[in-house]
Amino acid sequence: MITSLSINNFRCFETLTIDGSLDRVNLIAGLNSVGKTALLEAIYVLIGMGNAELVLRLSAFRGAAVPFAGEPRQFSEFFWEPIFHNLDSSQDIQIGGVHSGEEHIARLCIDRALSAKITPYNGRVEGDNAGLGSITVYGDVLKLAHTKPDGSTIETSIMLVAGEGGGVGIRVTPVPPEPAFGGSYLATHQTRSLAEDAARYTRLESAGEPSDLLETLRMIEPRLERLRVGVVAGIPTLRGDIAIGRMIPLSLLGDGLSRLASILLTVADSPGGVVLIDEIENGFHHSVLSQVWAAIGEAARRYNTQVFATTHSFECIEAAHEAFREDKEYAFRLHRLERIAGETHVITYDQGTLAAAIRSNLEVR
Amino acid sequence: MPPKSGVKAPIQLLVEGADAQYFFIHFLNHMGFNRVEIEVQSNVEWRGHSRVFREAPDLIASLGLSNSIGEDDLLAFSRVRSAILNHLEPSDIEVSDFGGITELRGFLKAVWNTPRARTTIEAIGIVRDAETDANAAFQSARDAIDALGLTPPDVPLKVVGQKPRIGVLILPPNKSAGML
Repeated sequence: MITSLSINNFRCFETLTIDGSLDRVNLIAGLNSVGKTALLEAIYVLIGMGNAELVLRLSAFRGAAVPFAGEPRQFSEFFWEPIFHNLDSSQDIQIGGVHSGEEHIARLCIDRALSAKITPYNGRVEGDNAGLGSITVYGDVLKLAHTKPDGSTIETSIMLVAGEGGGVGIRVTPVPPEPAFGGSYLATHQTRSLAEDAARYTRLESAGEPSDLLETLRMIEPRLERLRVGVVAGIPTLRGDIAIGRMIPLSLLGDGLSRLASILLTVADSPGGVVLIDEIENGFHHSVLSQVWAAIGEAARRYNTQVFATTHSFECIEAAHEAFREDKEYAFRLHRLERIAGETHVITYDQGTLAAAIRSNLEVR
Repeated sequence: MPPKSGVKAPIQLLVEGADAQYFFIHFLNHMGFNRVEIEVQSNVEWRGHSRVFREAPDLIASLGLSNSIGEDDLLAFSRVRSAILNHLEPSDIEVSDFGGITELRGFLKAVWNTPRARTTIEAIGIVRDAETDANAAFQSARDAIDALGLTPPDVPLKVVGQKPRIGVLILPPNKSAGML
């Protein structure tokens, strides 16, 4: 479990520190543009353990078009600069965190040793280092260096390249290692992957794990009799049986049902890891929110998975408090991001404080 | 569900129970607040805490109340309190009933956690009953302030800090056991 975080020069954060107040389930609130999604993104980069490709995915999570359709020389402006505070890539990004008592540090920077060679050639250069061979590199190269608790560093770079045949693509070099623990980002703007959900369900079913998933999903769709993975239009898909004679993809049974299935499968498939969920309340009717939280809390406890989610909804916050109040350990914290004197601060609510705020009808979002 | 409330005023006075709300005037007098504005029905504008207290008998008279309000006259206290609160500028002071003594800590932190509270609130006053032990009552208020990461006063009625200024008033009980 991540117990503390420090972020420097990433997105809207010049600095942000969360020291010791994180719990198994963390709900992030705050005004628009205060950095809720950016906080999830910073954690995502950190738990990627040196995989620079994750930075490219951040744009997709926010709804930006990938593959990139602009001019190659705009690649850096479109993908790399926005992750730097004030778009200033001259200052490196540093994201530090303590996970399971051990400190990890991720540093992101523009690889100027290579980038500088691009300029004289109007955005093109024959790369001759970092093992690139004779390919052509467009724009700046982003480098991610992840320092592990033992002091060793994993370093990868990501760049837009053109092969000798003229094709253009993304290269991550060297191939990053598998992360030490699971982690996933469930974005608001990104279509969920039917194949990923199906694969997760299959893995868990093989291990005899998802026994209560069906029961949990029934609180949203009481007609649901069973779940099965099948191939729909060539894509492995998790389908549900509602006794109409044919199995139906969960995505067609409602957004709330398929989103809850995705969340619970992701939590279960990330044991010891971290799951990041943007705008968690999306798709859920307020009447089921407390049960949704109870199910997420139980899955997080069972699989020792840490959850970070964002919300704008007071009903969502209140429902989470109600659900975790029933849990003897109350493994839940509400954190609100707030700008104070030009800096972003994290204001954390423990059980007693959140109970008092809800009882007194005080604003917490 | 009513709309959620945020910070309405730069001065937050948290009092224990409705009957204690009247005493905030006495409290403000000792705290040295200078942004309190009170208007009474006679259209006399009351500015500054010292004048409020110097003129308090006239204020009471102008409201048609007895000049001899005693501690047992809770009805009169309530009427005075309501009249004054009704004429306070809402942007100046917010008086909140934090409920019972066991709820002070959570309520105070919830207020301090409210959006924009840390940039808006200039002063926090806490008023609570002594119950049976005035020292213990004061210590509980100190503990609640300390839990915010703020420095509590070392004695009642002493104002400490800059932003927010903080003070605590322990109201004496009717019996002498907890009298300060």
